[in-house]
Amino acid sequence: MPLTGSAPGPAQFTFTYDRGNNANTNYSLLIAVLVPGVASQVSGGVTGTIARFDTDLPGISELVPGQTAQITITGCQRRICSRSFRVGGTLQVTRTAGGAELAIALPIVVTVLAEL
Amino acid sequence: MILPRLLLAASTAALAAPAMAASGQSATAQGQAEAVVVEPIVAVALNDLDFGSLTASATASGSVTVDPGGGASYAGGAAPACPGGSCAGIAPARFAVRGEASRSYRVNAPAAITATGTLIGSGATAPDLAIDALLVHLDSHTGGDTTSGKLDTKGQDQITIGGRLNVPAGTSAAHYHATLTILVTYS
Repeated sequence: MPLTGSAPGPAQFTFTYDRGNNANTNYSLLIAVLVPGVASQVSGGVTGTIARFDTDLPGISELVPGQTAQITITGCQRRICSRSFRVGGTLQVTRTAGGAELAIALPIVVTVLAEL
Repeated sequence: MILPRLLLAASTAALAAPAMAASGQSATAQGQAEAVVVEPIVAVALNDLDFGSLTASATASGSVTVDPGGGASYAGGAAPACPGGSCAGIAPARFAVRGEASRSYRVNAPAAITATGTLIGSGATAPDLAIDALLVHLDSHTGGDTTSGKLDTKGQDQITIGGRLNVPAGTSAAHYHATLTILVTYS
C-alpha cells in the first residue's frame, strides 16, 4: 500500500553516441542493453529485490538480468545521437521485522555493436 | 581522427558519475532504485466496550454512555444493576496500536453499531439495541477525541472508544453483544 511521499517513477537513462565525424549521412546504431544482475538489498529485517525490469526502449518490453537485449536506434542524423529511455521494475519486498529505506544500485550497460 | 565514443548517463537522483567508453563502445551508468518500506501498522484489541449490567424501565426509554476515559452515565429509564454501578464492569473498548515509530495514522471507526441479544431464560432472540455516539480517543492526542494520532518513538499508541447504548422502555432481560471493527492506516 503506497503512503505519502515521493511519487513512484522509473529511472531514466540517456544514451549518447558521438560518431566522431560530421558526415552528413543518416545512420542507425545497433546496441546491446544489459542489466548485469538481480538488484537486491537487505536492510535489517527487510529485503528488496528487483528481478524484473521493464523499459520503453522500442522492441524491448522486459530486461532480464544477465541477458543482453539488442535494439536498433534509428534516425540518427548528426554527429551526436542521443536517446533517453526509462527503466522501471517490480520491487519485491520480504519483511521479517521493522521497516527500511532501500537504495538499490541499478547499473545499466549499453554497448554499441555496430553503426549501420 | 576522432574515434566514436559512447556515453550513458542516468538522470535519477543520487547517481554515481556516468562512465564513458572512449574506444570500447560500451558505457555503464549507475542508477538507483529507492523505496521506503514501512513497518505495517496493526491494532490489537485489549478490552471490549462493556456497558455493564443495567436495568431498564418498563415505561421510559434510557441510555447508558461509556466515556472513552472510563466513566459511565445513565439517562432516562436506564440504571446500573448495582447501586453506584460498582458491579457493572463498565469499560471502554481499548486497542493497542503498533507500527513505525513517529508516524501519523488515522482511525476509522463506525459512528454507530447494533447489538444483538439473547433473552435470558428462553434463549430466544431479543430485539436489537442501538449503540451510537461512538467516540474515539487516542493516547497520543491529548487534546480530546479525535481519529488522527501519532505513534510514539517506540511505534506505539493506544485507542479507547466509548459509546452510548440506547435502551427502549420495556427491554427484556437479555445478554447483548456487538462487533466493533476499527481500521487503522498511516496518514
